[in-house]
Amino acid sequence: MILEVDNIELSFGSKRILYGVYLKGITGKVTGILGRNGCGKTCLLRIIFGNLDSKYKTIRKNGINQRKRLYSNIDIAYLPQHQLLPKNIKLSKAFSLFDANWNDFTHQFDSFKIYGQTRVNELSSGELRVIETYLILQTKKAIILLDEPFSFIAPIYVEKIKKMIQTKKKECIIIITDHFYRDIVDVSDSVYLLKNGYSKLIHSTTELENEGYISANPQQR
Amino acid sequence: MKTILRLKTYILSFHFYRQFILASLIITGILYSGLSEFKRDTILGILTLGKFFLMVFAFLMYFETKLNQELTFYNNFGISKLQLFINAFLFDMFLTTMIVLIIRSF
Repeated sequence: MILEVDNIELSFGSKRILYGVYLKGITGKVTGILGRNGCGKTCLLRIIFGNLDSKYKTIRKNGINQRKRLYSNIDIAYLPQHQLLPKNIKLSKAFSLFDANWNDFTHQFDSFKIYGQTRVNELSSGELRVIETYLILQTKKAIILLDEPFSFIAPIYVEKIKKMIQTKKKECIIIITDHFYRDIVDVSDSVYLLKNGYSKLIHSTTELENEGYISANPQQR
Repeated sequence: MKTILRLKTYILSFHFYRQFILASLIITGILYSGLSEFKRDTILGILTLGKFFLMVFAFLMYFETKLNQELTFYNNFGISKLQLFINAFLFDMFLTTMIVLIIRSF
């Protein structure tokens, strides 16, 4: 499947956020999005998912324009930047709703074994982030959107999640954004930089330096 | 399968509705105590109207506020905000009707 996002125009009041965005995701590839704070990365993912309305948008799947919100087709999963799971839900219930297997999860993340009957609000934000990312990544959806999956989590888990992404991408489109640009560059097959409302396909980290996203001095990164 | 035909939609909608149960019971109690002299159908009609406004109020609370973020979880299962609130209203009316019928049977 090929997902194309085009002609996105989004403003909040007089502030124009997005107005020249093109993005392409392909099954088997990870598409990374980078950009400074407030450049519209989260808004872009929400527009693709369908829970944020924009003035204009064109979303095509295999060249066919999608008029309905993508989430209504139940073939897209979205890990938002904020907490995904309701506070009062038990982990066992959450795993059941996402058709996920707790034993498979603890096989990969064995330090979570003790949390089987725990409620979401009893976990730390980092632990919760690992679980939410796992739940989204193991869904059988055609498109997966990940907004800051590496935030708040330990390096050992970042590596495990990156491996999961590499395995999962064989069967779906993955679009990912995070401020940990090295991880994004590492895990992505193509990277777009959002800047001044438009997107630019990036081919090397030198371009990120030239665009002012990262410092040219490695010690300042 | 369409979300309206999936059992999971109703399990999740009920999970969402649970946070309104207490407010709903309080409103039912207050309205019922003021309406106990009326006929059963009149009470149910007024309670339906009261609960409808409660749901509209809750819907507006979730409109473009931080609470809106909580709905992303349900969106991941294909459930829209409107569908979620309609289902919550239907659960609420079922519960309210049962309570009124049980009280009136004594």
